[in-house]
Amino acid sequence: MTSLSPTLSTMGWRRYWDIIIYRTYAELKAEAQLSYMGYVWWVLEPLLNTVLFFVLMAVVLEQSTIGAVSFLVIGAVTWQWFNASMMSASNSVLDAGSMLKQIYLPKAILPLISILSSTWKFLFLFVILLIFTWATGHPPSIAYLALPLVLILEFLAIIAFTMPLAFIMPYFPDARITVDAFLRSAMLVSGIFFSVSTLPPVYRFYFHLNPLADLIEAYRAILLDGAWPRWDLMAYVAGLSVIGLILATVIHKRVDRSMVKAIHR
Amino acid sequence: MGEILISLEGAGVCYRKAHGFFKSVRSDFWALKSLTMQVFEGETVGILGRNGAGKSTLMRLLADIIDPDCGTVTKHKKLCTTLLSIGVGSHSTLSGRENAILNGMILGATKQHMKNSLERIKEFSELGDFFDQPIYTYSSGMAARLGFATALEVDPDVMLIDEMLSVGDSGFQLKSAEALKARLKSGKTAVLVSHSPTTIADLCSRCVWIEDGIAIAQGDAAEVAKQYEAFMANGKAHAVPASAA
Repeated sequence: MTSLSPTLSTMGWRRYWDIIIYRTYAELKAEAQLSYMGYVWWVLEPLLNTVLFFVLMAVVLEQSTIGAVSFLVIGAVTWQWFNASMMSASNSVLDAGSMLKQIYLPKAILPLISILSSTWKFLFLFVILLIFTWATGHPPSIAYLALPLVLILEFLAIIAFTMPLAFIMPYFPDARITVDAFLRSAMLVSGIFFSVSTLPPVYRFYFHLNPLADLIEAYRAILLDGAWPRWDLMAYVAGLSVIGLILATVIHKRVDRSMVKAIHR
Repeated sequence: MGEILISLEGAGVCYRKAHGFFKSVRSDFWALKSLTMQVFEGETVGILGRNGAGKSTLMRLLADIIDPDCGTVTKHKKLCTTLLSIGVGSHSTLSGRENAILNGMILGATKQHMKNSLERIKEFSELGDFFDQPIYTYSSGMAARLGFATALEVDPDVMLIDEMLSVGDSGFQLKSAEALKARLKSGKTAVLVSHSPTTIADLCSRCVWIEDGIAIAQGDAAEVAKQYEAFMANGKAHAVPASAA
């Protein structure tokens, strides 16, 4: 009995990881080369979004102080991380259809590539965001110790919400339209433009059911007020993510080697 | 003949197509109905059949891309079974060098192995300085040459080849066909799909002839190829020959 070819690894986790990293790099590079200004857009696009939000806030809510800028930017940047990941990752498996018909890859690899590439762009922006909040009078505090936890929680939440969606997308292509509509409405209720304290107390409970709203509130508590995030809400976000990850694992196991049959492209 | 590496027992694959949410009509299509065959170590098995006979579905089963809906597919040891595809998962903004690494990894090789193979790939693909250019600058022939040279460096336990014996211009076609033939004759286990009986008779030791999702003959490659040829010449599209196994 001859042994397995020495050049190959069917065990594969190392190889899968290399593929993820390589394709993430390729996607970032491709995106930057598709436009004349390339990497500049990573900063420019969220900057334009923030300006838009600021104007909206000033005109509609009639509350525009310079302090509102850091308030807004924190909400906009951390929301955009979730938004961009969700948009690209939920379609990632479907978009890779022609490749998946030729070669076996665990389907989870594809949303991970999309998520990592938007995470890389986010981290880049987040550093600028930190510098900006320091410059506008909110220096680092002891509460910064909770920052990695909140970042990891959002990362997990992104994976947990996106993966199940990416796996069922080949079966329900209509979900693509639903995701766009869902994200647009979710943006309005995640507290990017307003703080929970402006809401009547009866609504606050429902507001906090939205994990993105909880995360945005936590970022603001840490960066602007030097306060600890609300641990009960963080535990709730973690719990939801764990449920999402279990769901993703179950679906993945069920459809990993049959999904390709449902992709008609 | 070596020992059995892969065996299929009554394997079938069904594609379901729902016609939309509000219609209850569903059409099931069995691309493979019930296929029993084996792949032995060191042999080249040919798969003959017309378009739509189920050849590509069989390749997906063997490559582990899909599970059968009925019957079983058993691998008798841990195997890397890869469909040699050209340029699968390539990225147009990456250079030829980077794409060679990426393609090779997607086809099953490790990153280190692909790095060590780069010089051979560069030489075989005859890309010269273009090797370090992004592949959107390539002609389709150049991209195919890169893809072929990369696939050739990946060395799976069982090679699956789907009508891919030659690419590029006539000079490269000859060279790529020769390289692949040399690999097949060197005792590599391979499954080769084709609708050309001549190719099958030339390269394979055994052959399975598939029609409408079932194997209607299997055995000595030259013999099955001859039956197939006679059958096709007869033009009796759906008749099953008397000698069917």
